Amino acid sequence: MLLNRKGETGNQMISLYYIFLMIVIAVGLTAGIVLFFGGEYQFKQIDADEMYLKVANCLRDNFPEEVFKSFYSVCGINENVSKEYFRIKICSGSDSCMNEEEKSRVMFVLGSDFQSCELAGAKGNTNFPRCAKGMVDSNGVRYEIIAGSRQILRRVA
Amino acid sequence: MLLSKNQIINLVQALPHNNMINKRASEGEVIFDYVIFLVLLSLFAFGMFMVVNNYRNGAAVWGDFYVKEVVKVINNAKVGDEIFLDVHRATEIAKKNEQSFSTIFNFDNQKNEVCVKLGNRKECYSFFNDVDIIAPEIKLGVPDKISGKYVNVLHFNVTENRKVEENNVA
Repeated sequence: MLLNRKGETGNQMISLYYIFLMIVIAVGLTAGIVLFFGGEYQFKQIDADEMYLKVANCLRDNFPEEVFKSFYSVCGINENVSKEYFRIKICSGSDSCMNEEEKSRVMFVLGSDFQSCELAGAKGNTNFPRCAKGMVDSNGVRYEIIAGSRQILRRVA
Repeated sequence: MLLSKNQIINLVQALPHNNMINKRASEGEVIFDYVIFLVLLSLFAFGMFMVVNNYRNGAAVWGDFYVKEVVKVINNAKVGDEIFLDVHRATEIAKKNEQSFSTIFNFDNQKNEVCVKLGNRKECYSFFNDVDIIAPEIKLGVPDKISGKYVNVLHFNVTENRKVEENNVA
């Protein structure tokens, strides 16, 4: 009985050693692959820059009243995609468009939480949206534009 | 005749009855241990295969790259533009992963979405420019003026949004 028990203990110890070895190899391989290949090609900032340029060119080339009346059709921007993945804010005569709440100064707004664009802690975090902002003159009026993207890659099986 | 303590132990262990019981128990336990071990090994091998296979030939990484570059081009395009893009690397990876060229680039004008499939899964990204992509096709062996080599090229036309019902596949 005593001899048999000692034998079982040895077998169990070897099994544990193999399981431990498998776990170490699995964790090492997965971590290596994910660290090397897992990082997404960062595109949010480019997406936001392109949206900003599109809106700025649209304001420059058209009458602002027309733009604000039918933004998507005048600027040639897809409404569904914009509502799902983008945030846009256009202000006039505002000190800080990012925090502007006054309706008379906000000419157009899509989405909310523009403060996260300037959040210092979000700069290294890829889950936060990336934003582009700038000024544009149209018909003698200065407009501030903020465009942000929160679109991420979708992997479909 | 007196026997020593060690001699008595050796004699008991040498009895056929004692040996048989022990052997049966050991065999059962060993087989059980091996079965568990083999099951765990199979699960491990399968899991590792799934993880590695997803990144085979860099399909996931290059799919991510190509879909975003195509979206960037479309977002900057104007109605009437004719686009030619060097996609030679993408076609090489798709060929290695046994994917048909006709399913690499998929343009969904309804959803304003581009999908690239170089491996088992496809990578999708949306473009905000309100245009339609028509007649996408991969042209094989087009001479590259800069390198002088023959490359595979993705060609498509940009037209105004007509909300075409069907998907366009290159």
